Amino acid sequence: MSVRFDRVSKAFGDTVALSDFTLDVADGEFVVLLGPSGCGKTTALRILAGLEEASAGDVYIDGRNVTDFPAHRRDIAMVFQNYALYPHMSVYDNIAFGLRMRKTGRQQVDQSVRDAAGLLGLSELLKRKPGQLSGGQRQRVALARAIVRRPKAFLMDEPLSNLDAKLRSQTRLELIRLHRQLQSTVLYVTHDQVEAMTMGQRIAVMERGLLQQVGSAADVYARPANLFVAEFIGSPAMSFFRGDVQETDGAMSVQTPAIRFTLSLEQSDTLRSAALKEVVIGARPEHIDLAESFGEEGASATFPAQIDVVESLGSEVHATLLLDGRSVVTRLPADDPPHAGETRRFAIAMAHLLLFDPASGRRLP
Amino acid sequence: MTTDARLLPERRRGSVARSLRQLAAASPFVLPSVVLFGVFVFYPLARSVYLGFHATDPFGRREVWVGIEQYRDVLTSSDFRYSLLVTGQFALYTVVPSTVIGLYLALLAHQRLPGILLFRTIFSSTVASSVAVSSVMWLLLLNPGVGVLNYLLDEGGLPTASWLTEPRWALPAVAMTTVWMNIGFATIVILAGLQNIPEELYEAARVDGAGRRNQFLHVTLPALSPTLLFVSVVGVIFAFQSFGQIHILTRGGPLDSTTVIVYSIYREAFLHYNVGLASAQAIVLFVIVLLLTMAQFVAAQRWVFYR
Repeated sequence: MSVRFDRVSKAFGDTVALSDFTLDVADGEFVVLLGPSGCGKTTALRILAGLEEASAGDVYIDGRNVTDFPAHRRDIAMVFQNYALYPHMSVYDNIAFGLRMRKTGRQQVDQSVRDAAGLLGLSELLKRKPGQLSGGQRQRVALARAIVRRPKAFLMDEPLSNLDAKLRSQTRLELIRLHRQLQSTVLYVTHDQVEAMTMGQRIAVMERGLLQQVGSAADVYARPANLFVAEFIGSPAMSFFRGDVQETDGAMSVQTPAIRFTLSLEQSDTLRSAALKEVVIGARPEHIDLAESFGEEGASATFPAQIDVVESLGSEVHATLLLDGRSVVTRLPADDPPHAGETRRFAIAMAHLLLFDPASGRRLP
Repeated sequence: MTTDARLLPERRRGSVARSLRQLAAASPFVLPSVVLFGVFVFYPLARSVYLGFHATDPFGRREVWVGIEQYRDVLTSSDFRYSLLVTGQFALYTVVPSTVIGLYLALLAHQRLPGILLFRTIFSSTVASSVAVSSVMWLLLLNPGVGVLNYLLDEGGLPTASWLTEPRWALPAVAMTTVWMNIGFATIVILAGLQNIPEELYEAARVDGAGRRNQFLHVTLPALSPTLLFVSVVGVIFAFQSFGQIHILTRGGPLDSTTVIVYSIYREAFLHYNVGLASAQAIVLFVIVLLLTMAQFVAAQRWVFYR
C-alpha cells in the first residue's frame, strides 16, 4: 500500500506541530520519521492513523483520499509506544480483538491469532494477561496485534523505546526480518538515529514541524541537506568550523581563528558560485585524524590541538579536542591512542569536507 | 544465599526488640483513630450486642439476661421480615438507577467540551446537600397540591398522585429522592474512574476497528468494573442505612410501606423504648449488610478486573 502526505499541516492552538508536510511512501517500503521530540513526527503518524485531524492538506492511502475517514475505516495497524494492550484481556483476546471488530469468522480468527502468535514466539503465552508479561513480551503482543489483521500499513510510534538496550537491538533485527517476510508498508517514528539508520530504507528527518530531508541512511549521512541534519545524524556529532572565505591566485581557502582550510578545485568552484563571505565547514569525526598517520596528501588543514578527553570504545577511540574554545571530536584507531592533556597535530581530510551557507544553513551542492 | 547459623538466634532476639520499638514509635500515630473508633464504633457495637441479649424496662435501666430470645423474636417476627422486604426493594430501587444514571452523567461530563467544568459541578452537586435539606426540597416537589411534579404531569395530560401518602407510590417516591441524593456521589466516583483509563487504549481500539459502542463495551466497562462494584456496594450499604429521608418524608408510612429496617429500629428504641429488641435488630442488620457485601464481592469476581 502506498501512502502520500500532501501538504499536511497541523496546529494545536498557537503551536504548529506539522507544517506543509509532503511525503510519498511506496508500497512495501520501510520509512522512518526521525527527529528530536516535538518535531512533528508522531503528529504525522497520528494523522495518517486517523487519530488526529489535519488542519490542512490531504492524506492518501493507495491513491485514495482518506483525510476524512475515521481511524477504523483506514485498514492500518499501529504499535504504540506504551503498547496500549487491553489490560483485562488475555494475550489471545488482545491479538484477536481487531479481527473480531471486523466480524471475522471464529475459525479464521483462531487460525490468524495462532499464526501471528507463532511468528512472534507467543504461542505459550496466549492465556496470560498483559500484566503477567515482561516488557519485551508485551512489545511482541503489540506487534502480533498489529500483524494479525494483515493491514495495508503498519504505523509504529517509538515501539522500542521502553526496552533495554540489548532487547532493543534484538527486536530491531526481528522487525527487519518481519518486514522482509510480510512485505508491507511500514512507517516508523523514532528519535533514535541508530534505529532509523539500521531499519529505514528511507529516512525522513524532521525538525520543528518541517521535513528537512528524505533519503537513504547513506544519503543523509554523507550528503546532509542542511546544518540541522548534519548535526543530528551521526554519533559522535559532526564538528563545524565557521570562517572567512579568501581567494589568493584563484585558489579558495577558509580562514578560521585557529585553522586555515585549503579547498579542492571543485569546492572552490562551489564556493565561488555561492558568492559567500563566510562559510561553515563540517567534518565528521572519522575524517579528522592524527597528522602523522594521515600524511600531508589530501589534507585540507593541519593544526595542533590539545586533547581534552579520550573515550575508549574498545574497537576505536573518541578524542575530544579543544579548538578555539570549542570541542571537536575525532574518531581514532584503538591501537596507540593519544592521551588526555597531550598536544598533537591533527589533519582534516579535504575530500569529505562539507560546506554550508551560514545564513540559510543549507549545504552548498 | 548462605547464612551464618551462629548469627540467627541473636538476630531473632534483635528483631523482637526491634518490632517492640517500632510498635512504641507507631502507637502515638495510631492512638487518635483507635480512640475515635473505640468511642464511636467499637463500644456502641459491643454495647448493642450486649443489649441484644438483655431485656430492658422502658427507661433502659433494668437489664435482664434473656439469651438469644430477642434475636429469635426478630428473626421470626413478620414485621421484621416485612421491613426487610421493604429495605430490599428500597435498595433495588436506589442502587441500580443511581449507578446507571451516575455512569451516564459521568460519561457526559467526561467529554472535553468548553464549560464542561460547570456541568461536572452541577452533576456532582447533590453530594454536597444534606439529607435533611434534600428531603424537605423533595417534600415540596412531591406535594400533591402545590408540588411541581404533579403540576408537570397535569400539564402533560398524565395522571397525578399523592406520592407520599399512597402505599403504592410512597416507596418509589422516597427511592426517587434517594437516587437524586446518590447521583452526585456516583458521578464523582465514576468520573474519577473514567479519567484513569489511558487514552491510548481508546486509540488502540479505534485503530483496531472499534466504533463508539464497542469502545464502551470493550474498553470503558471493563476498566470501570472495580469502580462500578464500589459504587454499588456503597449504594447497598447506604440503602440499608437510610433514615433521614424516610423520617422526614413519610415516617415509615403509609401502612408501613416505607418502614425500612433502620426506621423500624428507631421506632423500637425511641418510640417504644424497647432498646434490647432494637439492639437485636441492629445486630441482625449488621450481619445482613456484611453478608450482602461479601456476596457482592464474590459475585463480582467474575466480571471485575483489577489492574
